[in-house]
Amino acid sequence: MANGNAASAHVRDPGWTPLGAAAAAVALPLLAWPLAGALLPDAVSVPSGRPVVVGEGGGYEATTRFEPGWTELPAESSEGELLVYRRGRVLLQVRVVRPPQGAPEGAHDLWRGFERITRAWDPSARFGEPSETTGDAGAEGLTGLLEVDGASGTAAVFPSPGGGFAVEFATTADRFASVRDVQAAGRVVDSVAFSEEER
Amino acid sequence: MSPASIRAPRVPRLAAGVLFAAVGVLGALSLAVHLGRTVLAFPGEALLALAALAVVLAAGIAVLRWARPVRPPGGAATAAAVAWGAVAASGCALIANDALIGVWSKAGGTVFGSRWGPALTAPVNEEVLKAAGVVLIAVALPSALRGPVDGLVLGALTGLGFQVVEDAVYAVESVVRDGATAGALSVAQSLVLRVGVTGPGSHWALSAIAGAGVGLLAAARWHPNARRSWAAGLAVAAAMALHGFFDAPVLQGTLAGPAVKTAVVFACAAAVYAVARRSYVRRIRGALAVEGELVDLPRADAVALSRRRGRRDALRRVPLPDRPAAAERQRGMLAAAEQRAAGIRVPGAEDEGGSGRSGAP
Repeated sequence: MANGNAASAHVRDPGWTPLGAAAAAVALPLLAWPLAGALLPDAVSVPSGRPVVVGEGGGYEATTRFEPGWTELPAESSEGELLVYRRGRVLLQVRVVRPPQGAPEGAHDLWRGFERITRAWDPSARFGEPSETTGDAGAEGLTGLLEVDGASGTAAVFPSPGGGFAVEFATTADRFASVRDVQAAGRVVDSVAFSEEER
Repeated sequence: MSPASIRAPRVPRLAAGVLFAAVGVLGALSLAVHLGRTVLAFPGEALLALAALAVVLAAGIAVLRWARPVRPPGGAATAAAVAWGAVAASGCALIANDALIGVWSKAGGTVFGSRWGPALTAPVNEEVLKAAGVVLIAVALPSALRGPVDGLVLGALTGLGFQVVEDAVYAVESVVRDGATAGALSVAQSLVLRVGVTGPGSHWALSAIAGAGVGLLAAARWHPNARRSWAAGLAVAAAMALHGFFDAPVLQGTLAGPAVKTAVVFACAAAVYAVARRSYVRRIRGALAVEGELVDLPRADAVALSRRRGRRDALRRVPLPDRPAAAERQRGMLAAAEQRAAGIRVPGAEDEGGSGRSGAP
């Protein structure tokens, strides 16, 4: 009798219900969210003519300015870490990095770190020799060539004058990109400005 | 293989095993695609994180196995739980989280997606994916998961596996966030925060709560009454809500905030553990008393076998040459008591002599 009860209990619950539930629990997030994302627009227009805050820290705020025609890719971006923009066939990544206390944060150290970071996304990435540059608003940093398979561009690093963070730009364009778009990306990089935050 | 698992239908068990393996392969591929390049770009930092986290994983497994009352979970179930969390759930979560955070960012903008995306994404995806593994283990290895205590411990092990891989991902990503100028320092700081500060109330605790809910359903052979269904649903919902609280952009800015969140999650998991443990120990003691009667073992001696120390003391009273056989009888009696406590009768229990339990120390 006892064995019969146990056996009937197991016959009554062959396990298909929990198995189906587990399969659905795995399949749903893997299928539904990408589908929902595909239904939404990938890019949103970037307001032009006024400064866009890209990072802040140590009493300073970093901004850049965009001309008309730029779009931001929100799904690729993360506030205060990485902002990704596109204009035509030009891709502009604006990265904010925050070296921890005690870590080197000179422009040349950041340049070498930026090359490693870029290789984490594209192992073919190679940075050229950097040269000193000054932005339109006086921000001082380094810039140089950036080569990746199938595209080329420029990289730039601007440490905050207050220390604690830096803004890094990576611009890549394939060979079909228009000169105007490439030049527009250069002007975004040159527009970087650090200003003391209002308290 | 226990009698319970022998009686369980083979096809669903096999199907659960196949699904487990398939999702595991998908998770492994996802981890390789998402992390491969970063690991290659920062091999030293990745190795440092993996070495430190291997120690954390080993210690965590030992503690969680010890936390199961009466006896630790089986090796196969332990390995399956940790592997599901570390590979299948974490790999699939990378895909699902990227997609859902992308939805929030596209719908609400980059600022909203960055601030609220994790709190609106991780509880939904990660708790469900981790709990799915506990369900699959319950179907594939029914004798390993018979009630809330089993679900809690296997859920905690699943969460631990997930947590360790997530910690490794965050450690390597911290190198990027910090500018990659002092990778080892970035990894060390990330690990101190995620293991030392938030670790005690992270995925292992959340999945323990959800796993207890799965255990409630498994105990009812997946045909729960309304009360049990609500309790199981509440456990999973509580895990998701706590996860949302943990990831929400509140109590941020200082170490105190994450510490408070960690304490809240830990306290909730500890409360669920205390309730599940008390109920389980009460039932197992009753079952041991019955099993003891069947072999003329005094009630106090039989009930003492529910504790590891009680079993050790009982064995010490047995002459050394007889201890292996006595230990074997202890295991048989415990297995029978656990089945009885789970509502599964042992073949031959009524007429005795068929379960190898005679003369238990």
